[in-house]
Amino acid sequence: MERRLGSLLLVGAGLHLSLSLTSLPQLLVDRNELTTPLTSFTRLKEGHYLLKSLSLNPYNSGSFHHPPLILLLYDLGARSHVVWVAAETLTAYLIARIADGRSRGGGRRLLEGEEAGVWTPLRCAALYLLHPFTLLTVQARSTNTFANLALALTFAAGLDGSIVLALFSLSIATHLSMYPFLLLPPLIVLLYRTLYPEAVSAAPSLVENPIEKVEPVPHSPTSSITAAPSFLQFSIGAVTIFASHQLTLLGLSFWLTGGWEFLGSVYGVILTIPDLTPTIGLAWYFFIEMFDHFRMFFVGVFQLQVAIYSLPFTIFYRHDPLFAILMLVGVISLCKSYPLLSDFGLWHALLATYSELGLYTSHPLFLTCLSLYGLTLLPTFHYLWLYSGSGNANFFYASTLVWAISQGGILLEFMSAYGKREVGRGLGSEGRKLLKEGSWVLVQR
Amino acid sequence: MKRQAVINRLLPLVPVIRSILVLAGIVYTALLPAHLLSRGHYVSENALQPAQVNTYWNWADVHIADTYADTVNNHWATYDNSSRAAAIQSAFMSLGIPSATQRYTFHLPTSSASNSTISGTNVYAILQAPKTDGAEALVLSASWLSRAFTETDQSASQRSINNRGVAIVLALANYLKKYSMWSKDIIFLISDGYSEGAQAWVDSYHGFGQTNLEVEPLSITTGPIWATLNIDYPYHSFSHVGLFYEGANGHLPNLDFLNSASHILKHAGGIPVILHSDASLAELRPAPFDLDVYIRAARNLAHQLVLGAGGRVEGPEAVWGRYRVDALTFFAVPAEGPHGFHSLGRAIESTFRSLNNLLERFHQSFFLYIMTSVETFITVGNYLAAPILISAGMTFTGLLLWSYTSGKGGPTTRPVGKAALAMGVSHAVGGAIFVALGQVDPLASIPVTLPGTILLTLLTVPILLSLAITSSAPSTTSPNTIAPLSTILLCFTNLLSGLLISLTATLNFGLAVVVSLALPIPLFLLSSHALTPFPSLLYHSTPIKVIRSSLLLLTNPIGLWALLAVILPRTAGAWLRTALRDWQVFGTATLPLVVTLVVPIWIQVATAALL
Repeated sequence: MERRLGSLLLVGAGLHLSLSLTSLPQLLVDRNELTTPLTSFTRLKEGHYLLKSLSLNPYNSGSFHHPPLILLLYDLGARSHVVWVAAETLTAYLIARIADGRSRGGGRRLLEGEEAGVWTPLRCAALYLLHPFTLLTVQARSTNTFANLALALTFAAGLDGSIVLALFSLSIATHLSMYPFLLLPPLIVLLYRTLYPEAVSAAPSLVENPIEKVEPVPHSPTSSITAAPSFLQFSIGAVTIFASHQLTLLGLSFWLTGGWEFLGSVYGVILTIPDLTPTIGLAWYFFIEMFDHFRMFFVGVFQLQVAIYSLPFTIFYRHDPLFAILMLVGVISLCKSYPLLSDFGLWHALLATYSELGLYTSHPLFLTCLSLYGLTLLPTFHYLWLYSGSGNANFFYASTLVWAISQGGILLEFMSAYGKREVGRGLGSEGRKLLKEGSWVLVQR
Repeated sequence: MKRQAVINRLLPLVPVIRSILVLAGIVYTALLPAHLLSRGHYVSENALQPAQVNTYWNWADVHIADTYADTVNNHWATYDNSSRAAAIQSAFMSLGIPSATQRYTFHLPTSSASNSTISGTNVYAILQAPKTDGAEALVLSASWLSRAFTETDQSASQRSINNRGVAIVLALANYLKKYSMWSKDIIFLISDGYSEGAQAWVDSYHGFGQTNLEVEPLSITTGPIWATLNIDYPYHSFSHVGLFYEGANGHLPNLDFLNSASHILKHAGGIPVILHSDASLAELRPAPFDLDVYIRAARNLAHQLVLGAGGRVEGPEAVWGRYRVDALTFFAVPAEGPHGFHSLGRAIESTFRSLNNLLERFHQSFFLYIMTSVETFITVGNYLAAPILISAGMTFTGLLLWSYTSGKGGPTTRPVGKAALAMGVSHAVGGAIFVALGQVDPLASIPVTLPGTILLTLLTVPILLSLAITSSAPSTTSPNTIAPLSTILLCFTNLLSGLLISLTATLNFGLAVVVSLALPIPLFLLSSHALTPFPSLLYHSTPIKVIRSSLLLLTNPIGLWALLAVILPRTAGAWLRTALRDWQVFGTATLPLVVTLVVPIWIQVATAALL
């Protein structure tokens, strides 16, 4: 297993590197599906030029929105594809760890007949490393790669129960793209469940679920010997750690740039969406159509719409917080202000760690087709609008809608598959047999 | 349950519904030329004010143009490329307009270090707008060669020299510079060759380097070009002006440009206007129930569909679309009279006055349209349904084939991976054929072995592929029923075809129509065993399988071409060379698209037929 994973990573890295020697990087560096104003390599170069060659503060330029850490990384020499390939390979390794961690820990309690649908960690890692989105993003050198790495590290560390590492990498991810702070609540639950399984089995609010009774989880070797803190105490501690990491990172950024301008130019831009460069998301079109008078209100609604899912998902999936994280990653990829395909690459690979749910999906072909239509229409309508001039902005917006609907459909499909599986679990093996035979029917109200 | 019941009711109807959809698509295509689907033309951009200005081009200017025409005939026509370019440049210079030449060379084929080249020298001059700083520009161009062929040597297909086109551009340079109303720079371009020169010039003007194009940088330039008017006037007089507007890969200029131009030609120049060069289609008056009108509209429509499907650069006007420049050619249809420099000059002057009024690029009117006559057109909303119906039929078939394979009891395993693998391999084969075709030198004759190799490849690939994907041992351990691989493959192929047609319809309507009329042949006529009402025994007997596969082989575009190459090697060779030359010089995407995306669909169906 380890050896096969190693060779997969080597082959994948080799493929990425050999592609970078072709003319692909030049073709892709400014594709709006692969980069956004916040992650574009071209803009990063420009910011660095402003800083080093002209000795200007790039955050005053109005066109540079990378966080100072990325700028530092670039300054230290992280410019060639090797760095990106290394990051993606590491992410793929972490995905394998997550898939592995799910089967080791209590996260995956399979029902009979589900083994056939389970993907090996190797397959999950391969899906990420050889995913076209990942391959192309590396060629475009979008800095979102590093945000993906930080996220994968967060989840892997969370499954391992290393509080500090998980919270630290979540802070990094938050620092790079802001939205990941929404993952803090499910991450805390995940950490608590991993570290204190016996406390969890004692706390009915964390276990009980309208449709399941959990057998006590076997004692985990990582759990501490000291008495378990209450969930509230644990949460307060975790939030404090996260906040202090965050403050350190911001302080470091302040020290690096010598001012607070980066706050407005990075996080202000993410929040208020002043740069309306078309992306594959929905925000740009929404706000080019908006009268200035209503803008602030709708920006608020737009951002609230993303944030609102965090707590309900955490509460509803509290017995399986990794699934809550998964669904939140999907929601963020879909609704963030500057989304790109690289987000969906990570999400698809994470979904693969729940591959047994594929047995419960009802429209896989339809959703695949819809995604393909979205993916092919995006560049086509982009071309029609901006190059040949035969189309207009509405064309491209229509294609982003198709893409959003297809990915939203996949999100809902996974939620409903999860629900079906959990109902089946509650029914016991006899009930499941009757369901399978068709004597019982699952009706969704 | 309800859904399952609906599906169960629908399943027997699948062949009927998909046939209805496809038939509806074909019938709708046939209805397109009917008067009720088209609408009368109008000019949407108010700033254009077509034919609303006084024109001052008169007989003195005609005399100057005649003098230039004499110079072209008696002197420049006998020069070689570079000395002719120098002579034209000094003609512009003596008018006081800054001028420059540009040498270019296209290397063919793109792939190998190459021996065959197409080269020439362009001349252009830029008249600075007296009123502004040259933020925008208009182009008045004439290519050295005309789209008309010389009458003396039809067989050698020698293009005649565009002598009067070149002459009127020079005469207009002399004339237009006298007026101070220009708010845009005017570029006068005499491009060498027929379309190649214009392609080289426009590429280097926009700083876009094709890898196989070696070109001198332009020494003088100005702002972005908004519109281009190309003049093609090869004979001493003309009867009609033909409008040529199709760009490479089905790109069209804005309808406002076309409509203003025809309006101006008619009212400012008094010249009858036709689409393209077929004068028999002129004088078309729309009348609701006139068969004659329908037939003429159908001929215009078919002509445009074929031009679009070919995606070829049919003239110098076609190269501009890639850079968002609206371009049009006035082709003075050769005749003994009655029109000449006088009326054409007035029309061009008036057109430039209209273009000069523009405050933005053309954007008001349609970019997606089909002309049924000079005065009527079909909008995108009306014509798009034709291929989309057929594509819907295919998508529908694909989705229902999928549900057709769901087991009646217990879960079904669908060999998705194998089917996807077969599709991937077939497209890779298409890619390989394209690479092989790319090695052919478009200026020499094609290798004798090529058609045979292609036929052999097309014959063996489905057989090998079907053997490869069935021979891998089926897992008997699984209790699940396994869906037939051929059905899954056909399902995917149908879905892919639907996607392909609907995407192409937005990019190049002509190509979409041609593909949507061609694809039902393999997908529906020759692959119905999965959905057949006939006993499947008949369809699974080996001779039937072989006959079906060979029929499939023969109906695909590359197979047809290879057969033709066996029978008529000269014609087939000329076709391939033209297609390759268009791809390598002008970037016409039809050949790569057909070979890598459409032909593999036949391979897939043939594979499914053998399974």
